[in-house]
Amino acid sequence: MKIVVDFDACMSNAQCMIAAPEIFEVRDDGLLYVLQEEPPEDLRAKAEDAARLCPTQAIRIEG
Amino acid sequence: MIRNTWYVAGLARSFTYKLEKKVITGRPIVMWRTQDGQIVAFDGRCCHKRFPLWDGKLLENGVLRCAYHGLCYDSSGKCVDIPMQPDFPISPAAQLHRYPVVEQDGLVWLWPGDPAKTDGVKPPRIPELADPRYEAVIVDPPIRIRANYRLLIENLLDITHFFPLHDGNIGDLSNSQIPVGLVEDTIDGNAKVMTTRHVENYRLPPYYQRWFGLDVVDRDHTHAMIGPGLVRVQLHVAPPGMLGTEAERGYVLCHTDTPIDQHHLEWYWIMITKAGERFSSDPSMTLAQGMAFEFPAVVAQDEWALAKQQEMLDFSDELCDGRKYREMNVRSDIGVIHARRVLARMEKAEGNELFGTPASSLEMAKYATDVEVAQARG
Repeated sequence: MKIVVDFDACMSNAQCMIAAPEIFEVRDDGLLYVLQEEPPEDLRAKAEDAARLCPTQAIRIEG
Repeated sequence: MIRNTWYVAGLARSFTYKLEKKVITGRPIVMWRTQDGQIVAFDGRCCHKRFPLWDGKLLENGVLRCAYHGLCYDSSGKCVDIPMQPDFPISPAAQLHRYPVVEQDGLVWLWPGDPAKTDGVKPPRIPELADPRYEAVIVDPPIRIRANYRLLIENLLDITHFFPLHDGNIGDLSNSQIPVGLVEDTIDGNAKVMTTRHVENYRLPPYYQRWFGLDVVDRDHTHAMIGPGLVRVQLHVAPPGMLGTEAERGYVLCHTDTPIDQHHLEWYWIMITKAGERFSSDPSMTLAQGMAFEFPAVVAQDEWALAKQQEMLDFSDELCDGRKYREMNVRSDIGVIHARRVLARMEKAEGNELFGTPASSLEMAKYATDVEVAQARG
């Protein structure tokens, strides 16, 4: 599983961080950081939640 | 509030040898044009018993006399007379704090922060105001709104609010759906965040049709925050395929944005067109005069909306389930988000509290995670 973020579309809503804090972090510089680009399989449900909750549909999960 | 930056304190033409009261970023400031023609700005409190100096009097010999006990200050802010003890030397501590001021393009810019930090940062220029090829109309007196100054910047960087707020005058739904581009830059030490919108074969909303005498057009529309103290809007319209030709029309619309305090802003809008252009729907007026005549109807809608947003900002963010309210951004908020990031960096550099930045979302998300963990344990 690979996390792909469209950073042009990301609006730092931090919904992804609420859903999957192990993978996503919006820091106080206002930018999103992907903590694990290839997270382990047991985080798949959380990663999918993050992609679904993103208001700008900026997150894609490959594989 | 960001203080290490330039804000417009007023119009140059309104400063004479007369005391002016200004509050900028919550700081009381007394200003006047000296007999030498320089505009000066000082902390507005008499150094004796903090009496407001704008209620004092400028004497014929060029000094300001406080209305309470009569302490006098010269145009460098130095106390030169303490009437109740004429035989004592005047302490060097009897000196008013001076604010940096720049008079430029007919505007008076003031730096309410640390004077040692102005290095390399100049007030943004509005070159058209000093160029006879252009004509400008400036709203005067300025508009004052009970709203944090950030709300005006965010209003201008996100014109998807033209529908429904300005539906029927300058807005419509199709305007809101034009894709937004972003350009970031630095001008004279000031951060610049600019949104761009290009559209072809677009039917102009009613006001623009009247202003320019055009119906279906190609259009370039940009909105640029410069500093935080200025937002510069540029509009270019022309019949399809004719942008950049003689047929092109448009304007530069500048908005100065000065925080009076956390909850109030002061706003001058400056409508600029090429000199000599006529207002299409009433050729007895110039284009700038005609637009300035109709624009207040648009501004009144923004005043209403900004004051409403501030009313809602005054409530606590707490929600019924223990979580906190947070704004949800959509794609067209790209300019707002980038401006917030830039301004958050400036606030942070001054050690200030952040306004509407993702920092609060960081706390919120951590909090939300903790709640979920607690529920799972429970």
